Amino acid sequence: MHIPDGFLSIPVSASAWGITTVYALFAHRKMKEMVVKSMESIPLIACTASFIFAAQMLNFPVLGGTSGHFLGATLATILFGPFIAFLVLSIVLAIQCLFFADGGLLALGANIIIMGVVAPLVASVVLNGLKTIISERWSVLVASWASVVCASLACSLLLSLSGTIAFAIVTPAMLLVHALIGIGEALITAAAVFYLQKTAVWEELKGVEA
Amino acid sequence: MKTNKKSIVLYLGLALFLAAVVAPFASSFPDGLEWVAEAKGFLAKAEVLQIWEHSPMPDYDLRGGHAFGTSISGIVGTILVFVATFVFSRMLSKRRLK
Repeated sequence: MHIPDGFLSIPVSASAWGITTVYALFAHRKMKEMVVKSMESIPLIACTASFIFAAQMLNFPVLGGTSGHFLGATLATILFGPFIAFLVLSIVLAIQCLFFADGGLLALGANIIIMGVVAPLVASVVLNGLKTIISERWSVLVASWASVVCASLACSLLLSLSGTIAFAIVTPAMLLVHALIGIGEALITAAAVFYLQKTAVWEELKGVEA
Repeated sequence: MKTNKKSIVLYLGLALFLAAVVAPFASSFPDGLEWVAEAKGFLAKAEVLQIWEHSPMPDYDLRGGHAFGTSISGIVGTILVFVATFVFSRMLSKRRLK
């Protein structure tokens, strides 16, 4: 479940839409540079978006009576960088909202900030920061986990700014459950990355970045 | 450098397989946010706005439920996301860099 309408106050929802719009304008040039440089990567970007949509439907059980699902922000960031990840997650979230009533329309801006801005940027910072310190395998695992946990922290912040629930009450619960969901995120992301590394897709992507 | 058609078909095929075949077996336990909202007593604040009433496939099922509702929703969504991302990226790439 993404944030439904009603969880966030109108000022918070509206500000979130505003921030999302400004970020989209900022990311626009970077996204364009990426797709212009490598027109060939467009089908791969679209496939990755489809894969993320499908994988987000697969809730796996975590601690008694709760479930979690894949987010995909780190996977998209590893493959295409944080700005294309923003594009991919925004499209997935918009379609989930408009066609499947998953996440509110007013809350869509907030959902995009949490999962399309915060999660990919955290993944990007962690991946770059750990690049020279630990092996690639471990940095993928840590970045995936951190992206989910930080996204849940951002969600807690928006909920408390809305006056829905006190920050001190909601945050420990959100962090606890998402620390567990983050383990699933890390395993799925690592499996996807190491599978792709064995295919021709990887060579093409590395060609794109170079 | 050209994109390997076979890997594209495999990649999209995997997404469709997950949405159509695996998704109906996904856990139906409340997810992280829903669980926290229930435990902390603010789940009832979720408003069912018009977006839900007009949604073609609310909660990844056909209206009124259907034996293959989840699979059908999954296939439709996977294709929609593919087309939307493809078209949007193409539009981005067509416009000249200033």
